Amino acid sequence: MSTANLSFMQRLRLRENHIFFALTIIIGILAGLAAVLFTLAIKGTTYLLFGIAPSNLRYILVPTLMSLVTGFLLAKFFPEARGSGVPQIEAAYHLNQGEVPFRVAFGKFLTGVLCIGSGHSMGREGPSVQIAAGIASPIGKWFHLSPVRAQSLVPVAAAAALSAAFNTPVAAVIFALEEIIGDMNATLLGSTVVASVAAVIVERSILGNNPIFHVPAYHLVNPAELIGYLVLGIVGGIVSLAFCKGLLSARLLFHGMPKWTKILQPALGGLIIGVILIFFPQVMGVGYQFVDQAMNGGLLLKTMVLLCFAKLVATIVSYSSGNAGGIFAPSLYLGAMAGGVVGVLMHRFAPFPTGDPGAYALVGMGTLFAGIIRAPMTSVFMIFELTQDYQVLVPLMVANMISYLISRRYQPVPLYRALLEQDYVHMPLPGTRQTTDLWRARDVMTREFTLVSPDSSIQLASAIVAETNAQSLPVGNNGACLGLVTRDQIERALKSGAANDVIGTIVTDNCAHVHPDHPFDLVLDRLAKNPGLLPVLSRNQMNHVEGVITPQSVVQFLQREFEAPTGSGQ
Amino acid sequence: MDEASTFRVLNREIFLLIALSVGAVGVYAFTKSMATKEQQMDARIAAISYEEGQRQFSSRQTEKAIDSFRKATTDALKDRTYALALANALAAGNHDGEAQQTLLRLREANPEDAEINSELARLAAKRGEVDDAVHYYQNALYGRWAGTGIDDRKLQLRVELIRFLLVHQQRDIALSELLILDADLPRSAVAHVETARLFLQAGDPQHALKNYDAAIELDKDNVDALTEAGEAAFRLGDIPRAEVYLKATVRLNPKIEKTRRLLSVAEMVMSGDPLAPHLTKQEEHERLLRGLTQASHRLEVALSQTTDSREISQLNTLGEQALAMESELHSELSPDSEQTKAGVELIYAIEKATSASTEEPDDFDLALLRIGQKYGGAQP
Repeated sequence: MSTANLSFMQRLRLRENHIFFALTIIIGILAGLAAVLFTLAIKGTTYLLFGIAPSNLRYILVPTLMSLVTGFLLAKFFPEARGSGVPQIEAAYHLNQGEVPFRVAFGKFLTGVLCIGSGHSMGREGPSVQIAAGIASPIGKWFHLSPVRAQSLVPVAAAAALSAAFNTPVAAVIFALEEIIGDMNATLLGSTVVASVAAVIVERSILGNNPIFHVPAYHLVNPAELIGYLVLGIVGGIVSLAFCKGLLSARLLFHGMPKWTKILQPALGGLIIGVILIFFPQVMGVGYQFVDQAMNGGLLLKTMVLLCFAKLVATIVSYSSGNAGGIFAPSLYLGAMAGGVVGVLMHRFAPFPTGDPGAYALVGMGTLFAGIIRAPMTSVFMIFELTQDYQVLVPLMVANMISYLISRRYQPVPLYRALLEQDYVHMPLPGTRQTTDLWRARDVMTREFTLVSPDSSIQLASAIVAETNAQSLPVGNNGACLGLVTRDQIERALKSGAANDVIGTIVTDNCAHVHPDHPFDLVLDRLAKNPGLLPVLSRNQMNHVEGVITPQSVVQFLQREFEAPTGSGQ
Repeated sequence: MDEASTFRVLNREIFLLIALSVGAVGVYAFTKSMATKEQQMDARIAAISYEEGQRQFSSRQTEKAIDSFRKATTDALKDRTYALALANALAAGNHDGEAQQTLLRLREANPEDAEINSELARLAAKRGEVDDAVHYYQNALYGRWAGTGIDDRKLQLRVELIRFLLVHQQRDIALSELLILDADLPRSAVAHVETARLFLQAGDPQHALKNYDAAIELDKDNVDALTEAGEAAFRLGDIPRAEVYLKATVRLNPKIEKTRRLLSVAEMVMSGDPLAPHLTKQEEHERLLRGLTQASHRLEVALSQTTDSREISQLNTLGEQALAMESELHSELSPDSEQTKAGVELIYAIEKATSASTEEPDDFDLALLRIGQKYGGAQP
C-alpha cells in the first residue's frame, strides 16, 4: 500500500514510528556516550584523588571529604540520585510513565563520579542506566511523543547504557526486558536491541574492543563437577541473602537516624570506607581488575575469602549511607570471590577431577547476580556473553537456579523492590504491570469520598453511613488511610452501647486495597472479596488515598464506557 | 490542530532530530578526546609501574613486582611487553596458572609470536607437560621473531628444547631437533662443542665427533673440544684419531690427569695391537706374547683373590688355555693370522673375566680390553 492512499492520521502514526526509530538510534548513541564519559570521569577522578600509591591518610580523607560534598549535593539538589538508579528507573517507568527529569541525569553523573571516584565500593552500571534514562526522557518530551512511546524510551536508554557500561549488548537487552519492563515478551525487544547495538558500537569505537574481563577458557572437566556448581549455588544464595539482608538492615539503621544527620550520613559511610580501604584497597570502586584476577587464578584462597567479606561490608556501608552508585558491579565482585573460594576448595578436596577455580569464579559472578539482582535470565546471558562458550550454560543454570531459589525463599521481596519500599514507593507486582490495554483502577475510582478521622465517634460514622448509604468507610488522617470500618461493625458497636467510642477502636487495618495502575479484573476480584469499598492507594506515597472504588463507581464507569465508544480508559 | 500546523510540528521534529544528531557528533568528539587523554595518562602510569616492577623484579621482590606489572597491564591493556613481564614475574613467583592465562591471552592476539610461545613452552616444561611444551617450543621456533640476534636466540631456544627432551627421555625427537640444530649452527667453536655434547647425550657419538672436529677446525687450541673429541673417538674405537686429539690436549694442558691416562691407554692400544695392519710377523708375535703375559699375570692375581668356586673354575680353564697358547707361541716364532686372532680373543676373555674380581685395571689392561672390543668383543 503506498503512502498516498493512507489517511492523514495513518500518515502521522507512520511518521511517529519513523521518528521513534530514529530516536532509538540517537538515544542509543547518547546513552553509550554518557556511559563512556561516566566511566572515564570515574577513572580520572580516582587517579586525581588517590594518585598511583595513596597513603593511609589519603585513604581516610578522600572518601570522607568527598562524601561530605556529595552528601550536601544529594540532600539539597539531587535526592533522587542516591543509590543505584535501577530501582528509581523501574519506578519511573511503571509509576510515572517513564518521566525522568534531566536534572536527575546531571545529578547522578556528578555525584556518581564523586562517590565511586572517591573509593566507595559501588558500581557504575546502575547510575549509567539512570543517567541514560534522564537523557532519553526529556528528549521524548521535546518530540511530544505519545505517553506510551515516551515511556518506552526508558528501557531503550537503559539497555543502551548497560550495553556500553558492561560491554555485553545481549545481556543489556535482556536486563531491560527482565528487570526494567518486567516482561520478557515485551514488544520493545527490537528497539532495545537497536539502541544496545548503537551504544556498544559507540563504546568500542572510543575505548577499543577490549573486554572488561579476561575470561579463561571454560571446561566442565567431569559431569560430577555439577555437584561443585550446586555447592556454588548454595554458597551464592547464602552470600546473596547476607548482602540483601545486610543492606536493607543497614539502610533502615541510617533511615532511623535523626533527619538532620541525612546530609552527613554519606560522609560517615565515607569514613568507614576509608578505614576499610587501608586494609583492603582492593575493594575500592568498581574493582573489576580483582574480579579478573580471581577468574585467572591470581588470588589465594585466604585473599578471596577476605575480599568477599570486605567487599560485602564496604558495599553495604557505601550504599546504605546514601551515596550514589550501583550494586551491579559489587554483586559480580562478590560472586567472583565466592566462586573462586568454592573453586579452590573443590579443586583440593573433591574426589573427582575439577576445572580451574577461575571457572567457578566466572560462574559465581552469574550466581550472585541471580541471587542479589534477581534477574536470572540476564545473569545467564551475561556470563554466556562473556565466555561465548556453550559449555558454561548448564553449570551456570544449575548454580544460578539454586542461588535464585534460596534468595527468593528467604528474601521474598527482590532487593530493588525492597529498596523502593524503604523509600515508601510501592511497585506493582510483575503480573499486574503490563496491562496497558485494559481499564485501570484509576479509571474506575471516584475521588468523592469521606475519610473519617480515627478520633471521630462511632455515632458520627453511623450518621455518615446513613447519609451516603455506603457499606464501608475509609478511616485515616491527612489523606493517609489507616483502615476500613464496615456498616456491620458500626451497627454492632452501636448495639453494644459504644456509640461515643472513637472509630479507631473498631477499625480494620490491613484492609484490601488497589493501586491506580491495577487492572480492572483485579479491582473486581478484590471488590468481590471485600464488598462495599476499595481504597485506591498511591504507589509513590504509601497509604495515601487517591480515591475509592465502590460498586456504584464501577457501574457508573461502565455506563460511561458503553455510552462513549472511544472510552477514556483505553 | 489543522493539517498545516501539524506539519509545522513535524518539521520541528525533523529539525530536532538533526540538532540531536549534530549534538551527538559533538559529544562523541569530546568523549573521544577525553578517552585519548585518559589513555595517554594510563600509558604514563603503566610505564611508571612497569619500571617499578622491573626494579623490584631485579631485586628479587617478586610479589611486589607482580603487583606493579599488574598495574601496568591494567593501565595499558594491550601492551605486550608489560604483559610478558607480568607473565615472567608470575612464573617466577610460582603463580603458574595465572602466568599461563596471561600468556594464552597474549597468544590469542599473536598466535605466532615466538617469545610468547617460548614462555608458554617453559611454563609447560616447568609443569612437566611434555606434549604441550614441545608444541609451544616448536611454535616458537617456527613462529615470528622480533628484535635483534634472532638466529642466536632461536638457536638457544632449540638447545633448550633438546635439553628438555633429553631430560624427559624423548631421544628420537631430540635427535631430529639436533640434526636441525646441526644444520643451522653458526661458525662458532663453542656452538659446535655444545652441539657435540648434546649428540653424545642423545647417544650419537658419530655426529658428536663431527661437531668436535668442526670446533677444532675453528679453534685448534680449544681444550674442551680436543679432550671431548679424544674421548668420543676413543669410545668409537678410532684410536689413532683419539691419540691425535689427546696428545694435543695434553700439550695444551698437561695437568688434566684423566686425559693423560686416556692418552696413555690409547698409545698402548696403538703399540700393543697384534692385529694392527702393516706389522711384521715378528712384531705381531711380540705384541701377542706381551698381551698374553699381562693377561696371565692378571689371572694369577684374580685367582689369589677370589673364593667363588664357579669363578675359580672359569679362571682355571682360561689359565690352562693361556698356558697352552704361551707354549705354542714360544715354540713358533711367527703365528698365523688365525692363531693371532684366537690369542686376542683369549686375552680379551681373561681381561673381562678378571675385571670384576680384581683391583682397578692398569692402563695396559684397559688397552687390552679396548683391543679386544675392537675385534668383536662386546662393550665392557
